[in-house]
Amino acid sequence: MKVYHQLGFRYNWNIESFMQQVGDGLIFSPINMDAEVLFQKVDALKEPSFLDPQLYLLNEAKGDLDTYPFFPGNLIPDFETTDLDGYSNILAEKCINYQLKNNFKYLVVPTRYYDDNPSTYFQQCTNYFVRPFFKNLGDRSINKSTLLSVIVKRIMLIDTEKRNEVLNWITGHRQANGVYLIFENDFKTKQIKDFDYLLNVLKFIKVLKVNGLEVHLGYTNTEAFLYSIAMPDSISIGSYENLRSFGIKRFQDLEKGPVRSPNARLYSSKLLQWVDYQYIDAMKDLIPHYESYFDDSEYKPLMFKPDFKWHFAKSEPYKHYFFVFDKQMKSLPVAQIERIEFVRMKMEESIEIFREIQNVIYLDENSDGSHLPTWLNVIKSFQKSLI
Amino acid sequence: MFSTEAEMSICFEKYLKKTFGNNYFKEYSGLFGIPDFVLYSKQEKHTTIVSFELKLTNWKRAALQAFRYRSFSHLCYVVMDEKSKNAASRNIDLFKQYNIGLATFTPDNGLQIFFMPEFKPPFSNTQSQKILNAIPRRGRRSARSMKLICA
Repeated sequence: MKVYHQLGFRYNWNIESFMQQVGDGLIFSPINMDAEVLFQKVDALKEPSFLDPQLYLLNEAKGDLDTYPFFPGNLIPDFETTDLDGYSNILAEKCINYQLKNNFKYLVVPTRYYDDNPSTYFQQCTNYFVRPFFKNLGDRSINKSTLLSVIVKRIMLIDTEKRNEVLNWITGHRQANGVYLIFENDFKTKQIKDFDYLLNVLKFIKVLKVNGLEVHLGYTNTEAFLYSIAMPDSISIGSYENLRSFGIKRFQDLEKGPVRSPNARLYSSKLLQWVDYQYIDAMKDLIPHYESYFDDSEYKPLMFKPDFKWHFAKSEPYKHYFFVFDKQMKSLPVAQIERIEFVRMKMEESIEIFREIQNVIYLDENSDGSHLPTWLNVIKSFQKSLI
Repeated sequence: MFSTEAEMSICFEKYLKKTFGNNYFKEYSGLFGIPDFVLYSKQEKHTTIVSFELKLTNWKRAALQAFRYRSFSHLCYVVMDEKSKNAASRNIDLFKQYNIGLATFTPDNGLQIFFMPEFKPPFSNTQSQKILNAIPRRGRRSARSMKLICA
C-alpha cells in the first residue's frame, strides 16, 4: 500500500520529506501552488504523483487555482454551472492537457462539491466531467491510468440507498482505473469514533476493490491505519488538520476573521493518537519511561529538548508524523488476514499503553485512546463481513 | 445556589479578595487552559500558585480542565456549585487519583473542601514562569488564609 503526501499550505515540508524517501508520491494542490511553479518542478516529484484538480466549487478562485488553464473563469469570465453545457469539453481538454504536460502518474477526473447534493448530482458529474474527459482521452487514444475523484458525504455511507447509488455510479464508469476517494469529515472530535461510519467506509472500499478498481484515499488521518484492512491502494498523510480531514472551507475564499490556533500535537504510532504536547510535560514528570511512548525520528531529540518552542506551525512535529506514519503503514502485512490481525493487535497494545498513562494523567478526549475500543469493534464486524 | 457561572464567578471573586487578598488573576490566558482564577502567594523565596475552575454542573469537564492547570500550578481546585456537590463527591476517587482538589462554594459558607490536593511542583517551568513574570512586584506577598486550601 502506498502513502501519498496531501499537499497544502507549507507544501515544502512534504516535498522535503518525500525527497528523504518518506512517502511514495505527492497529491498536488492547485490552490496552494501556482500552475507555473508546479510545471517547473522536477520530474522525480511529479512522475510518481497526481494532481487534485480542485474544481469542487467550480469558479471560486481560491489561492492559486485561477493560474491553472482549466480553471473555469479562464475559459469565460463569471463562469456559471449553466456554462458547463457549452464548455465541458474544453474544460476536460485543458484539464487533461495540463496533467499530461506534467506527466503525472494518474490523470484525475475532477468533481464538484455541494453542501446538499441535488438529485441530479451524479448525472451532472457524468455529463460535465466524466464523459467529456473520457471522450477526449478516447479521441486522442491516450492510454494513461485514470482516477475519478469522488467526495463521499457521511449520508452516502450511512444511508443504504445513497451508498448504493454512489457505488453504482463509480463502478458504472468502467473506463476509469480507480478512484481518488475523499470522505468528508464533519466530526467534532479529532479522531473518528462513529462505529457505523467507520464500518461503512471499510465496506465501501471493499466493494470498490472487489470491482477491480484502484482505491486512493485522500485527506486521511490516523484512521488510515484502520482503513488499511480494507486493502486500499493508497492513503494520504498531511501536515495541518485541514489536510487530514476534508472540509469544503479549505476551498472557500472566506473573509479571514480571528482564528484560534490549534494546540501543537505529537503523533505516536504506539498510541495511534496525536497527543497535545502540553501533556508531554506531565508525562515527563509522572512516567519515568514516557519517551518510549513516542517514536524515534531525526526530529525527536530536538522536540524533546526542554527549550523547544512548541507551536502548531512548526515543521518538526509534522515531519516526524510523515516519517513515523509512513513507516507504520509500510510495516503492515501484505495479506489481508494477517493485516487485520496485525492492526487489531497494535490497537490492543495502544489501549494497554493508554491504561498506563491514564492511571496518572487525565487526558482529554482529543488526546486519549477513546477512539480505539470503537475501532476494535469495527474490525470485528468487518472481519465477520469477510466470512 | 447560582443560576449562572458568571454569577458564581462574581461571588467567588469577592470571597477570594476577602479571604486571601488581591493576589490573584482572573481568567489568565496563554497557558494550558484558562483557569477561572489563579491565586499566588509568596512564602519566603517560594511563590505558591493555586488555580480554580468553577462549574455549576459538569464536574468531569472541570476535572479535565483542572488537571491541565497542574502544568503551571502547585495546587488545583475544582469548585462546584452546592447543587452539584453529590455528583462530584461520589467521584472523589478520580480527584484523588489525579491530585485535583474538590470543593463547593456558597456565598454564605465560602469554600467547603472535600479533597485537599498534595502540594506538587508544576509540570512545566515555562508555564509557571509565565505566571510568576506576570505578578506585579508590589503584589509579591503572602496571601492570607492559605492554610484553608494548602496543607
